[in-house]
Order: sequence, then C-alpha cells, then structure tokens
Amino acid sequence: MEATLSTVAGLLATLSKTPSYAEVQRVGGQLLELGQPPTGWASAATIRIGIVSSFTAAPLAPPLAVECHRLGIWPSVYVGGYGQFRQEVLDRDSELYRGEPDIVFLIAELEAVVPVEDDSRAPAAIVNRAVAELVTLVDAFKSRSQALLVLFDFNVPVRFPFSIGTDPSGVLHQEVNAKLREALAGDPQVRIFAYDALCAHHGKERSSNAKMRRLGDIRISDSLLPAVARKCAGYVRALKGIVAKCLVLDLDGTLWGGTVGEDGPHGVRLQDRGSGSEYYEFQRAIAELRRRGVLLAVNSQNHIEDVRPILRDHPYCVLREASFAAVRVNWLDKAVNLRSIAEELDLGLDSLVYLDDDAVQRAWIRRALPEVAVYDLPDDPAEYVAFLWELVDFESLTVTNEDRARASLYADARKRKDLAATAPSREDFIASLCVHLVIGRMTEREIGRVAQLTRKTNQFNLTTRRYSDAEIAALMRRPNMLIYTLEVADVFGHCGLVGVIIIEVRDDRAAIDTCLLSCRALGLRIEHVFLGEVAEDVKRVGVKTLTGEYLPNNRNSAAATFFESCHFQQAGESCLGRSRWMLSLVQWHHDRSALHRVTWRNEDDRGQCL
Amino acid sequence: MIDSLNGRLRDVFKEVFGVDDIDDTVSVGTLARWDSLAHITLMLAVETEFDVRITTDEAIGMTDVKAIRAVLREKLCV
Repeated sequence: MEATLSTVAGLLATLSKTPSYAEVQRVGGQLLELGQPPTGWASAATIRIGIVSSFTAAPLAPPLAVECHRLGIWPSVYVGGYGQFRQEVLDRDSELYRGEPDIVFLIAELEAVVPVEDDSRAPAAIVNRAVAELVTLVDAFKSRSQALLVLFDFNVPVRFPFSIGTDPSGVLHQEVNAKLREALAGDPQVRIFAYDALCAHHGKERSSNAKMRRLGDIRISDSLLPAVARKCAGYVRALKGIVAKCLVLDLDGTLWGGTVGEDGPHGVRLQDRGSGSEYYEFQRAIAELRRRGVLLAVNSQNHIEDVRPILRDHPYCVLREASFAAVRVNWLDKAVNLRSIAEELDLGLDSLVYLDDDAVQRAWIRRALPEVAVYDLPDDPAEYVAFLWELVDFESLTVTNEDRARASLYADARKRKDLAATAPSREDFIASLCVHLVIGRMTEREIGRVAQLTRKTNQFNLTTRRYSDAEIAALMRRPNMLIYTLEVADVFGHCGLVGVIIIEVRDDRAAIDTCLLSCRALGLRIEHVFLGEVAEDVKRVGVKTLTGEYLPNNRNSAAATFFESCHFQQAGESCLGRSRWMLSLVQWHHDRSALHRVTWRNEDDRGQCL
Repeated sequence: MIDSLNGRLRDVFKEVFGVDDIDDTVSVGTLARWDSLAHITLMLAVETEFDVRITTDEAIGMTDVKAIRAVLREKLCV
C-alpha cells in the first residue's frame, strides 16, 4: 500500500501548476491504470464513477481521476461505449450496472435524444418528447441502480450572425432544459448538471473544439474539460460527505483594500463602485455563501478596536459582526486562531477553508495545519469573486432549510454557551434551556436532510455509515427498517432536524444501524433521551433485544462510552476500537427524563411497524 | 532550426506519452499509448508547441514521427 501511495503522490507531483491538456490526459490515464485501490485502502475513500454519453466522453476520465486523487479518493471510472448512453442505461446487464457505480454522469446532446431540425422554435410536441425520453431513461436507471445520476443539461447553441427578425438559435434547447428541471425537481437520486451555464461562463465558442470533434467526436473542448472535471469532482466530494463548513477570512487586503491599522476605518478601500468595489462585490458573494449555509469566521492580525468601526458602521461593509460565527482579531499566530475557531464551532480542521491575501501566512498555515484548505487568492482583487465561485469545497447535494438557517443557529449556540458558563450545575443548565425533543418516524420530505446528516456528522456518529438520498429512500421502503428523526428546540430557538436513528428489525431482535446527533445539539444529554425513546418504541413493536455497535472514525472517540452510559452490556471483546453492545428490553423500562420535554410527532406512529 | 524542431518535438512526445527518445520509426503502430484519443491530444499539443494550425486531413496522415516532421517543416519553412 505504501508503494502505491507514493506512486500516486509522485504522479500528482509531476503535474505543473496549470497543467496542459496533454499532461492531465497522460497523468490521469496513468492513475486510472493503477486499477483497484491497494489492499487496506478504506472503502469509504473509494468511488466508482460511470460516464455515459452520446459522443466520445473518454477524455473526461483522466482529469476526473486527478481531481479525485487530490481529494484522497480512489476512483475507478467506467466510460460507456461510444454513443451508447441509451443501451447502457436501459440494458439491465450493461457494463455500466455491472460496475456497480456510486455515481453516473449522463451527457447527451439534444440531437441524440430527439431529431432537431430547427432549434429556433420549441414546439410543445418535440419538447415533451425530449423530456419524456429523458424521464424514461431516468426511471429505468433508478429501477436498476442506487447510484446518484448526474444529468447534464443541454448546451444551448449560439450561432452568429442570425438575421434580424428571426428567432435566435437554441430556443428549443432552452425550453427542454427548463422543462427537464421541472420534471426532475426534488428527485433525491437525480441532479442536473448546469452544463449550459458552465459553457456560457467558459465562452460558448471555446466550449467545443472543431478539430477534436472532427477527429474523435469529442464535444467538450480541451480548454473546457478541466472545469467540467472540477464540477464533476464537486459531486463526488458532496456524495462522499467531504464538505467544508466554514470559510475563514483575513481582513486587510482580503475583505477591504489597505490596512485599517494605518489607513483608519475611513481610509480603507471599500466602495460600491469604482476603486474598492472589488472588495464590496467579494463581500456580497461571501454573504451569498452564508445564505446557503456556509459559516463565516474572521482570522486577522489587528487591534479589534480598529476593526470594529468597519464591521459595525462602514456603509459598504456587507459582512457585519453578526455575520461571523467566530471572530479572532488579535496578534496571535494565525494557526493558533484557526485551531480555536475549529474548537469553538465544534468542527474538524478539515472543515475549514482559509482565505488570506498574504502569501507568507498562507504558506505558514499550509505547513502548520495541513488539514485546512488554503487557496491562493488571485493577485488582482478584481478576480476574487470569480475565484470564489470556482470553489467546490462547500458544494453539497442538497441545501436544506437547516443549511439556510445555520448561520443564525450558531449565533443561538453562542448564547447557549454563555448561559452554560453562568448556570450552577449541568442539570440546572439543561433545565433552564427548556429543551424540547420532537421525535417521529422519518417522512418523505425529510429524506434529504437525513441523508445529509449521515454524510456530514462525525463527532456523535456511532457507526459513520454514509448514505445517499436514494439509499435512505430505499431503506425507508424496506419494511423491517425503522428510521427515527429528532427535532430539537429550546429557549434560544429551533435547531431543526438534528438526530437520526436507523434500526433494522429481525423477529424479536433489532440492530442499531445508525445513531447520530448533529454536534450543534450535543452536550445536553439529548442523545440519551432520544435512544431511550426509540428503544421504548421498538419494545412496543415486540423487540426483545436491541444491539448496537460503535465503530471509531477519527472524530467520534467521545461517543465510545455512549452505549455503556445507556446501560447496554458489552457483547464480546473490543477489537481495533470497535465494540458491540446489547440491551435486553424484557426487564428494561424507559425512565423519562425530567430535564427534557419529549413529544412524538405522530402518536399513531408509535409502536407501529412491519 | 531543424535541431530545435527535433528538440521541441521530443518535448511534445514526452508531454503526451511520457517517452524520452523518439526517432523517425516511432508510429501509431510502435507506441502502445498512441491510440486514436492520444492522437488528438498529440495534434493539439503540436499545434500549441509550434503555434501552427493542422487541418483534419493533415492530422489523419500524421501517424508517425516522420510524417509529423514533414508537415511541420512545410508549415515552418525549415
């Protein structure tokens, strides 16, 4: 394994900073030739990718392999036969399905789906036929595979000049794209890749290369390919739960121009137009990330008294004190600050992305804290916004209501911590919060959030089993699986859906497949109450023995004693940190907590199943 | 001029195929990695390195080092 790892590292190291098409094809090809991961490689860090297309899509595989290896994920990539996307999807025994992919990219041209004579019109008959064809393919795919299907939308062709007075080209493509989005919205197993937008962003003219098309029917140009591969890797990241959660920002030179310590709060460059507007626009873009659920933090070497007037009163400072979940403005080592930010927000260092215009600081953080993602900001601040939109670190497959509310949830959490510091005892503190647990069987609309929690939760996650939306939907359909969800509210606000327990029932035995609680609800003995309630529920179903296991990941050591604290007996010896636990429900009865209020969302659900 | 053409062509082959030594006999038939996709990569790399445009017909014929050199000589007038 060591030898293979150094081979991978060696190959990646041969790539220059902005590698040419040929370099990436060669190195990526060599990475793919390594085949299966070495023995001992964690299966969680592998991904099986399928690519099916209406043209030659093979050049996408090497750059995608490079991107995956850079994430520490071992990819195997299957590229379907030339133009065979239909057969690959429809044929139950196709190579595509035999490879048991985790994720499949379907890239078709509209002309390969329906005959296109005049794309300046969008007659309903053709639009509907195209959408129906694709929905049929999607349905067939879903009945044959649990993989995430990423469907590229259609690149709207642009032809100039077109005569004044006639409709522009690509009206048909636009209409099909819109209808397709509508038809597949909310499907947990399908995502639409905004390929048309990516081509437009890259430049439509540069998005295809006539020579590549003529010689090999390759319809994604050499210059566009890296961006496509990066976006595809974004899906891989999200599927694997590698999602950064917090953007940590320097101030001087990053959020505004100049140095506040020298130029004063009114001297820094920050304007809505003209010079300084690059920072204003960058801040607006960051604010948009925050609205999508990304936490923000400040890490700056400054006097807080200098910085505060800007964050509080500067008319064009979009980001205010309250926008940040954590603020470190001091003269400490920035690496020390990053550590304490991670601690305060209860995040791993690998959940942080750090942006600083100072190359020396960046180099230092890279060395001191290799887990933190540190990117080089462009030299010209005018390019900051474009740079930010290139980042795929925060991509997640679903943006849930919890995500949108996250930033304020952390502000609530800060108030909770303050209260904890003043309460005389842990019990008094919990009681003073008036914690209210709402428990229920998972409903269809909770699938996205439940799957997301399985992918993102590390700290209190007893088994760390990662599930896609489709897999959770499939578990829900299995009659012997019980999926419980937990919502929590307290005096400071509503935490939303924060806990999941998945139980597999076999006759009078039940096994805990998954038991997790989001870190923002930890420390209030909520997990004990949740499991107690669930145990009581399965007892009503007729279960006599409840078993559970603890599988260590690198962040959940605090959960190792959880079963013991819930009065489970250990079954057998621990091995490699793993332990198995058992609770006999026959004599057991659930002590309702006096400190928490518990409500079952639907009383009729209780004890119902199978 | 010819020497620099040969040197630059060697760089292109190193970039595309990772091979160090090439002579006139190297062709689609003798280099295992030189398949149809790699051929397109090679043509793009040649265009970039020598700042020339290669037509589709020319590309189809450039299947050994000798032919590639001949096309380049003509385009670069060396």
